[in-house]
Amino acid sequence: MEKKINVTDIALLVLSAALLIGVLTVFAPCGPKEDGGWMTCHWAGNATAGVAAVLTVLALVRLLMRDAKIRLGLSAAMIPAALLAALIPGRIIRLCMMPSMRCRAVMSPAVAVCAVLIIAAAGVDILMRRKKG
Amino acid sequence: MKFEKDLSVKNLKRKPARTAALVILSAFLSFSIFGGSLVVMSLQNGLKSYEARLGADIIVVPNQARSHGTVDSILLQGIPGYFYMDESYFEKISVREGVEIASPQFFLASASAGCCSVAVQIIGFDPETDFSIQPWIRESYGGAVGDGDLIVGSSIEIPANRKLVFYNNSYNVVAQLDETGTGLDTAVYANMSTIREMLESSTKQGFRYYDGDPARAISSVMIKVGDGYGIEDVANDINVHVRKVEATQAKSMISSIAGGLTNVSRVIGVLVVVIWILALAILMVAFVMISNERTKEFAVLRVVGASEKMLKRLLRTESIIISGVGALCGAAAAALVVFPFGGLVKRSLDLPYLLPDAGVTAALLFGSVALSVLAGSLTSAASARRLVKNDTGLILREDA
Repeated sequence: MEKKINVTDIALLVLSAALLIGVLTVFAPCGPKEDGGWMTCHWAGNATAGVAAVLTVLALVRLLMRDAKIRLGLSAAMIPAALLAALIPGRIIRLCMMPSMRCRAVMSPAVAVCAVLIIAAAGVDILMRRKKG
Repeated sequence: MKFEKDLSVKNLKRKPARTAALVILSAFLSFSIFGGSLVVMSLQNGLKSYEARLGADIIVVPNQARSHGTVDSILLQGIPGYFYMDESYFEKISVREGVEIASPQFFLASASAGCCSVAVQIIGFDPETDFSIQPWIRESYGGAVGDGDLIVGSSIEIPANRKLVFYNNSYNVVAQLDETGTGLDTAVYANMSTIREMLESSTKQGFRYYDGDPARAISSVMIKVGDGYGIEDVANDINVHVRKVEATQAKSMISSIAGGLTNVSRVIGVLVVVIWILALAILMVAFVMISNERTKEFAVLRVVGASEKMLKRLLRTESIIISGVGALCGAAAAALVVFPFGGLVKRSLDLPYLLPDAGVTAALLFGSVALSVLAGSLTSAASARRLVKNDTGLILREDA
C-alpha cells in the first residue's frame, strides 16, 4: 500500500494535462480553410487530444490508487499511449504540406516533446518501483 | 576508489534537494552551449546551402517583380510569387558583354496542391541552358526531366500514386530533392514546356497571371559571368542598357542574409556567455557554502584515517557525478527543444536553417557535455582544496 505522492506521479499528471490542454489551445493545429473546410491536421489534433485525455485519466487514476502494483501497471500502460500520441501527427494522420504551417512547426514537435517526457517519467517510475521491489 | 565512489553517491543521495539544485545548475551549462551552438551551426549550414543552391552570379528580374513577391522571398522563405517579362529580354541580356551563360527561369504559384489547398511555388527551367538547378537535381535524380515530369523539394509530401495535380492537369513526380533548409524545399520544379502548359491551364481557369503571350513568358534570367569580367560591372551594364529589368548580384542577396545571421549568432553568443557566467558563479558560491557546511564531516573522515588525497578524490567524484548528470540532462533538454522545433526557429527567424549531420551533432554533444563537466568540476576544486587543508583538531575541538 502506498500513501506518498512522488515526483513522477505529479510529473505524469502535469505532462498529460499539458498535452491535452496544449493540443486544444496553444499548440492547436491549423485553422479552417478559406472555404470553411478542415485540413487533415485538424483530425490529427482531435485524435491526439483524445489520446491525451486517456493519458490524463490514467494519470489521475494512478494518483487515487494506493496499490503499488496497480500504479506500476498504469505507468506501463501510459508508455504505449504516449507513443501513440507522438505518432498520430504526421505518421498515422498526415499533416499539411508546408513545414512552416502551424501543425508542422508547432503542434507536431510540441506533441512529440510532451510524449517523450511522459514516456521518460513513466519509465523512471517503473524503474524506481521495481528497485523498491 | 570504489569506496570513494560509493560514499560520494551516498552523500549525494542523502541531500536530494541540494544535489538536484546543483544538477539543474550544471544542466544550464550544457543546455546553453549545446542548444546555442546547434542553432548557430544550423543557421550557418542553411546559409552555405542557400549560397550553393543559388548557383548564379547575377539574377535578372523584371522591375515589377517586387509587387508580386521578390526572388528573396521565393527562394528563401518559399512564399509563392510570380512575375513575368517577355522572352525578348532574355535575348537582350544574354548578348551583353561578360555574360558567359544565361538561363531563363519561370515562377508560377499553384492555386492548390494536395492535402491543404496551400499554394506552392513552381519553378520552371530550361534544361538546355540551366546551370543552377540541374546540378542539384543530379544529386538525387540521374534521368532527364521530360515534359510532364516534376521534381519536388524535400518538404513536399508525395502522394502514393506519385502524381500531383496543378490547374486540373496531372503530373508525374520523378524525384525528390535533398533538404536545403531554404524556401526551395517547398518548391516544385519542371521544364519550361510543362510550366507553360500549367500557365495556359491557369489562364483557361480564369487565373490571370500574365497579360502577354504565355509561350514567350519568363520570370528571371540566371547569369554566370565569364572569367575576367567583374560581376558588379556586368550587373551595372545590364541595369544601364536593358530597360525595365533589375540585375541583382547573388552576393548581395546572400550578404543581407549573412547580416541577419551575424546578428542572431551574436545574440545567442551573448546569452550563452551570460548563462555560463551566472551558472558558474552560482555553482562556485554553492560549492563554497557546501564546503563550509561539511567541515566537521571531513574532519571526522580525517580522524578515522582518510588521507587528504582520498578526500579530494571524494569531492572530485561528487562534482563529476553532479556535473555529468546535469550536463547529460541539459543536453537532452536542448535536443528536445532544438531538433523538434527547427521548423519554428526557421519560421521565426526567416533565415535558412539546416541542421548539421549526425557526426557533427554527436561531436558537438560530446564537446558540450565534456566542457560542462570540466567547468563544473573546476568550480568545486578550489573549495575542495580549502576544505581538505582545514585543521582537523581545531574543528573537532570547536564542537566540544
